[in-house]
This record gives sequence, C-alpha cells and structure tokens, in this order.
Amino acid sequence: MTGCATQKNMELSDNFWQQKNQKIVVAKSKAPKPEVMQVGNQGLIDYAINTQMAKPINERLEKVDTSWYPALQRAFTQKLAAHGMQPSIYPTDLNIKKLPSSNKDINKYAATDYSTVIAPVNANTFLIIQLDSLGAIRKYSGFIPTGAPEAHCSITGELVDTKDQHLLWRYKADVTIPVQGEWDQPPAYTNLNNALQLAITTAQQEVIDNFFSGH
Amino acid sequence: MLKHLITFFCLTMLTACVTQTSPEKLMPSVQYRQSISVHTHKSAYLYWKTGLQLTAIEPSAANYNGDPIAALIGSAIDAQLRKNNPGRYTYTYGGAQQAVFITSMKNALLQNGVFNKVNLITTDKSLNPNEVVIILNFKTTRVAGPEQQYAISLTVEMTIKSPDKKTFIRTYSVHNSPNENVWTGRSFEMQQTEVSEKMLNHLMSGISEWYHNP
Repeated sequence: MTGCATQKNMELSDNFWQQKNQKIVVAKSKAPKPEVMQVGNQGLIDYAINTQMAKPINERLEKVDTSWYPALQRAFTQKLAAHGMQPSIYPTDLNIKKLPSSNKDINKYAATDYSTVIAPVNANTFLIIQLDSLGAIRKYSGFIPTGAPEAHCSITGELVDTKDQHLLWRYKADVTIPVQGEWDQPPAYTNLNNALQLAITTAQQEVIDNFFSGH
Repeated sequence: MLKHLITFFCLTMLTACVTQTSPEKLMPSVQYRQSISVHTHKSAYLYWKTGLQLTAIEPSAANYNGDPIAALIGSAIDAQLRKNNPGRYTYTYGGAQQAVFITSMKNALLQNGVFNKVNLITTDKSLNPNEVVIILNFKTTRVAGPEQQYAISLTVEMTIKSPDKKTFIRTYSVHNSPNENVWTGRSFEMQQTEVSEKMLNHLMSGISEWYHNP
C-alpha cells in the first residue's frame, strides 16, 4: 500500500524557526544523468527507436553543467546560518536508491530510511535535497513524437527529525518549460538549453522560497 | 485508408468537445476569512509587480493507441486548433488572476480598517514618501500539468516601506493541497481560489508582523 501512496508536500511549521541554534545537517542526493525522458504509449521497439532518435539530444544533455547543485546545498546552509541555526554540510552525496525504504506512512515520515546516515551525525534535524530528474520530457505515441521536447527539472526537499525521522517539511518543485523558438538545433540545442537553465533556476528558487517562506 | 479517415473525423469532433475543466474562467474575488489587529490612519500604496509566469497546457484528449498514422494526423489537427485559440488550452496564474488577487487584497485591507486608504499602482512614479508602500512582486507563478490536477505554486515577495519603520521584506511560497494521483474533481477555479486564499492569509499575517515590529 505504501508503494501506491503519493508523496505529499508538507509546509514547515513556525515552531521550527523558534528553535534557534538547532543543529541541521544538509545533505544532497547523487545527481542523476541528464537525459530525455520518453513518456507515452510505447512498445519495446518503439522505445528503442525513440531512444536512438533522441541520442543527439542526450549527448548534449550529458554535458549540462550541474555545478549549481552543490551551490544549492551551500545556499541552504548559508541561509540557515543567517537565521541563527547551526548548519553543516554532509560530506558525501547520498545514493538514495541504495538506502532501504522506511516502510512507514510517507506523509508522516521520510520514504527512505536514513538511519545509517543520520546515526553518526550530531544534529537535531536532517535536510535532504534530491535532484529527482533533469533534462527534457518528450511525449510519444508509438514511435511518433506528439510534441517538441520540453525542458525539465525536478527537485525535492525534505526535512526530518533525527530522533525518529518524522517529516517536518517536504516540497517538490517539478518544473517543465517549453522551448521558445526552434528546438531542433543540433549539436548545441541552444534554445532547449536556455529553457533548461530557466527550469533549473525556477526549481531551485521554488524549493528555497518554500522552505524559508515567511522568514 | 477508411479507418484513418474515420479516425481523422473523430479526432476533429473530439477536439471540439468541452473538456472536463476549463482554464478560461476568471478567478472569483479572494475572501479573507481571518482577523487582523492592525488599524492605522495611514494611507498605503499597493504596488503590483509581475514576474515569471509558467503555464500548463491541456494535453490532447485523443488516444492514438500507438497508431502512428492517427498520431500524425491527430497531432497536426490538435496543433492547429491550439494555435488558433491558445487561451482555451492554457492554465495560468497570470495578469488576470493577479489583478483579481490584488484587488481582493485591497478590499481586505480596507474592510478590516488596516489603512485609511489604499491605492493600487503598477509604477512607482509620484509616490508620496510619507505613506506606506506595499510592493507585491509575484516572483513566480507556476501551474503544474494535468498529472497534478493543474496545481498552482505561487511565490510572492512583499516589501513594506514606511517612513517610521525599517524596510520589511518577506517571501511567501504557497501551493495547492497535497498532490493526488487520482482525479479528485477539483476544478482549476478551485485550485486558484485555494492557493489565493492561502497567499492572502500569509500576506495579511506579514502586514501584522510588520506593524507590530519596530
């Protein structure tokens, strides 16, 4: 049943901000490879054809700069410090797929069991930034694309209490932006890249703004 | 060939049908249902600024069932229909919605006696420096796609300038209620109303915080 449930966003309570000097560890997940996400009704052969046709775009997307991702982690840390908290950065990227599931209600607890990660750290709360997906989305019917690719960036932020990993905040920024002008511009795909940069900036800013909303 | 002609005909008829939720209905005025303990004889400007507006597009209603010819024909018809009338297929929290919001906020401020007078402005020319200026910058408004029932995320930065206080700046981010995979029967109008009321509550709380702080 928990596998069928949908993760819901959760607003951060004002109580959090009243606890000054709390220790927060800020971690981020391992970044996924930027790629074209093929969605729609496709058979195996269709999928293989579409993957081959998307190869030039995928080759371009693999070169997308992801240095903004550690910078986002640092931005959270700096803002937390400015609010009187004691943040620190978790030294390694988390491989979320290799961590076990928490098998708890995912709208009260983190879906992932971070016990092994949290145990050695001395902190009151644990903030996880997860880059879910990055690149472009394109819809297909069989092997026929039914639209142009759209730039896409999805980031989820979660804050958990280190005592029992109950959820204090969650926000998912799932941003898709259509390409302005011509998209099919190999090899640089300039317009697609511009749309992607906007998607990245928007997703980042939304996650930060939601966490610090009103403060 | 006959099968594709019939598909072509059906797709044309289908795209003319009324869809389950419509983006074009204008949002009703936003209600402020809480109380605020701020009452001043001052006048205020409510200065509206717009930012990034990200819209959602209604997907094609047609299911091509993997039929490539139907997909080609259907996509071409769909693209032309959308080109002819883009507003019918676009879900947005743009200028029209923001105008309703900011007018509602003005009414809420007046009805609750927060300020003696409130002027809506879109430019900072000819401002009286002795009055309060509340700048509402709609930094980002984003409408998610149909898989999230066109849920809306709003980020508004409020700056309050007053001659007798420090400049007050807060950013508020709100979004619709938890996402569900199952269609809950929420119309886009309901999404707009819910998120607007949440934002109005935050902004009025912000004004209260500004007023009660030195």
